[in-house]
Amino acid sequence: MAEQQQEDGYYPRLNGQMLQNPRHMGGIISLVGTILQNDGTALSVRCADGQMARVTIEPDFVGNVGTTVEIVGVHNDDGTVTLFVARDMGNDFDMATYNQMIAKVQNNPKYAELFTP
Amino acid sequence: MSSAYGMEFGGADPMNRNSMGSSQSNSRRYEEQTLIPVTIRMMLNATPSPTDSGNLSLRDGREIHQVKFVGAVRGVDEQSTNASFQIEDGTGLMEVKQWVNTEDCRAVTQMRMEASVENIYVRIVGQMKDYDGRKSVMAHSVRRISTGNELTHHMLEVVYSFERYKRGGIGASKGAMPQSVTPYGGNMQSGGSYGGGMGGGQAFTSNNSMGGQMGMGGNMPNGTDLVRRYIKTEGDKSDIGADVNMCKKYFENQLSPSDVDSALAHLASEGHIYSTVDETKFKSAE
Repeated sequence: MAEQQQEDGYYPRLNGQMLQNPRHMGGIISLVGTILQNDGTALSVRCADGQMARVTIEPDFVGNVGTTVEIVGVHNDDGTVTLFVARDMGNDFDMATYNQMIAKVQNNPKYAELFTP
Repeated sequence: MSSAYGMEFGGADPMNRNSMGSSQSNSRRYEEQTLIPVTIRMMLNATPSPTDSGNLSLRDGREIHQVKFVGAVRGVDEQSTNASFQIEDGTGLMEVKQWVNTEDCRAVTQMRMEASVENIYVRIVGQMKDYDGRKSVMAHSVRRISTGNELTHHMLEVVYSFERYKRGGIGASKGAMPQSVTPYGGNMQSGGSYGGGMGGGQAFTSNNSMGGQMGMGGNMPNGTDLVRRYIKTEGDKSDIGADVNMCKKYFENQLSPSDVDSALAHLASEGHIYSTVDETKFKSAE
């Protein structure tokens, strides 16, 4: 993991598609999605773009199926995420708009100075 | 976007807006009432303002006074007189302090308690401070967001405000949308800075005759910057220059004819434009 030291509080916001990109692997990322399955060791999460992601959790993780959460954790080389924290985003979260926001705005090089170190 | 640029005084000390020192013209005071949506990254990148107002400026040139942002509570430390939050929004980490008054009414205390939970998102309104390079925000409002969509909305609002500033949002007080400004704004700029001879970060000097931020300079006629760019673009096309009546017609939905006249008079007195064959034709001096 030759990842440069990531600045504290900085994590790129990704959707399922972006998780496949090795660019952020080894670093901390944010994934917003809906928990579809929780088998005690990992979550199946539907990301903002509709694609599925696998998120590894600790046994003491509390998260109900059906809730929309922001998962902040390590982006592993195999495309999965290891969860550090999860934040409840409410049950009225607009995934489509959020997906547009991260895909077209936050990851747009034009606005890099507003969002990235 | 229907965002409320209102201020929430959560019982903490009211903002002292006149903390800025001696020569206070009305325009300065107005510009110091801006409230800008930011990300933590933007605040971390802020540097002391090129004017010696003692304020900080964003990298895009805007001077910041009040800021608002949305972030998650990484940690909270409550003392008897103040509460200290560590807030992160995915772009960086920021320290936020809020005064605690033991005589605060219950609603205020409740709001603070609701916000003082780890790993929830809050909206913060306050003033940025920089003590020897260490940045923090003195918040007068720390409120838990009511829906996760506030996060999305805020990020979009940050970019909207940024874009609008770059395209010259003067004339917005008449309800003009940026679309009508773009043909002139778009032709003129490369690096997003105003006008001819000023560099990117130098958009604000104390004798500022150019545009302000979201608001307007108080001593400058409405729409001066719009008219200035019109004269430049149209005027450069011929020796005779731009026609005043065509200019009034162009801006008829945004500026009154007397606004245009005031703007022209102001620009002419400042030397930015000059009349050519008669008093209805102007060219830009830049």
